[in-house]
Amino acid sequence: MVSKSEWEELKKKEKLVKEAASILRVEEKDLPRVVERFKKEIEEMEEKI
Amino acid sequence: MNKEDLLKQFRKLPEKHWKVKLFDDLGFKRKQCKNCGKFFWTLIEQQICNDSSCRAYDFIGNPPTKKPLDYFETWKVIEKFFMENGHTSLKRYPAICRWFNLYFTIAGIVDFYRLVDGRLDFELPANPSIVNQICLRFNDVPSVGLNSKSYTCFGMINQQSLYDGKEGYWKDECIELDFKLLTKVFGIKPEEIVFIEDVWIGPSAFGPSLEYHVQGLELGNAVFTQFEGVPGNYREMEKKLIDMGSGWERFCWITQGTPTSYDSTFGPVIEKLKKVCEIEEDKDFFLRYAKLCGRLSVDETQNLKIERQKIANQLEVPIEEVEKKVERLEALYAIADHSRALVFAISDGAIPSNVAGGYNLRVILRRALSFIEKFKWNLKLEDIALWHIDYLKKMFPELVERKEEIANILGVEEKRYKQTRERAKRIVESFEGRKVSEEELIKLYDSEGITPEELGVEVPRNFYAKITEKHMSEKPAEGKITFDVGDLPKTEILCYEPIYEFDANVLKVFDDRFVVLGRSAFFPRSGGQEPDLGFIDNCEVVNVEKSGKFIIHELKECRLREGQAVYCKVDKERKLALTRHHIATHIINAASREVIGPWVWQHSAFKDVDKARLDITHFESLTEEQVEKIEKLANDIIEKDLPIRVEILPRGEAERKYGFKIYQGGAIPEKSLRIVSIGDKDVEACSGTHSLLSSTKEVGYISILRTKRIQDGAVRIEFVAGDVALNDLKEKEKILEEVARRLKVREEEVPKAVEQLFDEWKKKRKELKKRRKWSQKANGKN
Repeated sequence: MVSKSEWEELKKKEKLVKEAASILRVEEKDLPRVVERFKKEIEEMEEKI
Repeated sequence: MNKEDLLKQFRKLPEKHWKVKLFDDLGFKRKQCKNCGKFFWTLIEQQICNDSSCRAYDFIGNPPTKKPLDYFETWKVIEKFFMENGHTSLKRYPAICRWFNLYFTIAGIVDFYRLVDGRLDFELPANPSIVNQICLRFNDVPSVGLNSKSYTCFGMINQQSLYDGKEGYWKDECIELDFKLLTKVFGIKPEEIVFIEDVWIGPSAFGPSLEYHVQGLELGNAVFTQFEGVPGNYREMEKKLIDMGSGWERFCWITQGTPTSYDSTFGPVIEKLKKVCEIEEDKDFFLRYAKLCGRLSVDETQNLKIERQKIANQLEVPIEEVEKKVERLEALYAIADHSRALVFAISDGAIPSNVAGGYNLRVILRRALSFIEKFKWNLKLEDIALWHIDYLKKMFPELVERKEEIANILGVEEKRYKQTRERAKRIVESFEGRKVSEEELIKLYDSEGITPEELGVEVPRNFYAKITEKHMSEKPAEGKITFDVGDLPKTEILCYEPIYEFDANVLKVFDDRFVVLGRSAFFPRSGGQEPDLGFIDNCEVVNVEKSGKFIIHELKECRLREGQAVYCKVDKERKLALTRHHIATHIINAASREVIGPWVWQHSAFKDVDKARLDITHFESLTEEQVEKIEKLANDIIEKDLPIRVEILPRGEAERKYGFKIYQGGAIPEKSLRIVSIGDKDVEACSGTHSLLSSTKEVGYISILRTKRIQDGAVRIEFVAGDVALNDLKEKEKILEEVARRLKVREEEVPKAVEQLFDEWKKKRKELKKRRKWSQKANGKN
């Protein structure tokens, strides 16, 4: 069984992922892809502006 | 054969079925009632039986007993009498029936009902015995408050004796005891007692019965459960059962002779209600009215108005005046009954909802609230519940332990009810002056919670019986594939041992893909746990089911023949993952109950290799804080490395040792139970493969993935355990690393950075939109 400290560290990271995913209202597994899309769209909009 | 036909058949031999020694000894004669046609036994020359439909409640204002007794004294004298006559007094069972396929304990004898292989079986902890059982029934809701004897929640004092010719006693002694109770203990004159012949038909058993009535009031009914099967196809039982049920409230009432049994039953609660609601009683009128209202039963009376008119005629008072004088009191009595029913139901672990047994609790809850609203009374159900608890606590101290939860749940329900009232009022207005069909009434109740009383229409006959009966008993199990495997020896079961490779013989192959082996270590799908998979020789096993005493293996391609010796291999990793998830389910269940409250019960569960889910009974969504607490508590149980024990116990012993909480997954139709305990945290009857692990650390940490309210009264908790949980968190760790890298921030800054990114994106979109509008305008001008 994994140690308690390692487990708690992983749970902390899970909480950060959950929080970030809930801001963008996406599933956790989609978070990197959606972040990338937002970054790209911001760049495109900046060019147009 | 229905009840009437059976009665006709038994009446051909009345001496055999109903005559007892006491009747001969004292000279009881058999008569037929000139009014209703029933047959009865009496000591005096009388033309009518003593049923309430044929005789007024003559004891009102003039009780036939030697002294008045309060509610608790009544039980004490009955208990003392039976204990002096060799009976064991049993503690009441929960009013929520977990051990049989009913939602509620609808009669005292239900305490002892069990099913074994589809047949009725009895589990009597002592013989003979008595129990004062709190029962809940919803088939006569609109009569509650009307006729002084109808309740949704009542105490049934049950006397039972299992008789096999050697142990226990049969008809003669039963009636002799009951007669002695009435005459010696209560002081009722023998000539006042009438025994009416009847029959009782139950699940797979039936027999004759004798009801005993005094001055219009049925006090008890002794059922002689004598035959097994159904009328027309039956045999005499080896062990016959005396099942005498009497009304606690009725015995108390007849000693006091109060206008209604609600006055003698609810004591200070009804007094308080009358005071708060400023009820002014015309005592002389009500005393005369109460004697006649025994015939008012919406369930039995074709037309309530006609019966009320008859009473009004007898009293020489216009019916409008009668209704005006009694309707507020009737509503108050109904509120007193309904609130007490909710106190016992919630205390015993049920909650009002839109599904299953909870539906019926919400029916009476809304009915009580609609009366409060109609008469604009300053009453709160949670306050009335606390008055009941205060009155009942000397006999039911368990209610005090639950009083905060009871008040909390009633408060939540009352708030919800009020939120729906504005919409309901508009709907009621839209129906004004319209004729409403029964179908429409049922639909209005189901979808909007609007009762016929609110619409101001006559409650259709059996309306409440119709809407509540579908929620009285558990639905039968979903149709599972059943196989006719013929006359084979039962499969030797190895799946509870750590056996992953074994030899066996093929006993039968059918439909070119199903195989029965002489012995098997493959766990079949059951108790929400998915089946073991693997190989039989080189044939892949894709599903395993249990059918009666056989394990049926479904193969992807079957190249086996009957009589062949085979080598079998179970997927060990899969089996252990399923076991870990199953034990984790028990742990989450126990942790949820501890964090949320004692009404948490397993609603359903599913355990697969990659995740598991537990649906629990609860009335609202879980908060983030509750979820964290449940997970922490579950992992505390893991860290404590508590022992996992499995023991096979006789059903009665298991129930006595651990209580009915063992039936988390529903009633189990077996005489012996596989009991799984996790330290002192959880005990359940369960068919899962828990015995493969010896302590909780072997499960590994548990991680709750998500929770959601899946229906009214049920919340789903999805979770993973052990390596599956660890892998899930490592995946999330990778996600965090990747997002942090892309946003060029530290991991703990990711949520803030994501928020800034989102704000930036929204800002740019707005700006771009503005520019587009501006340029469109500019282009338009040009």
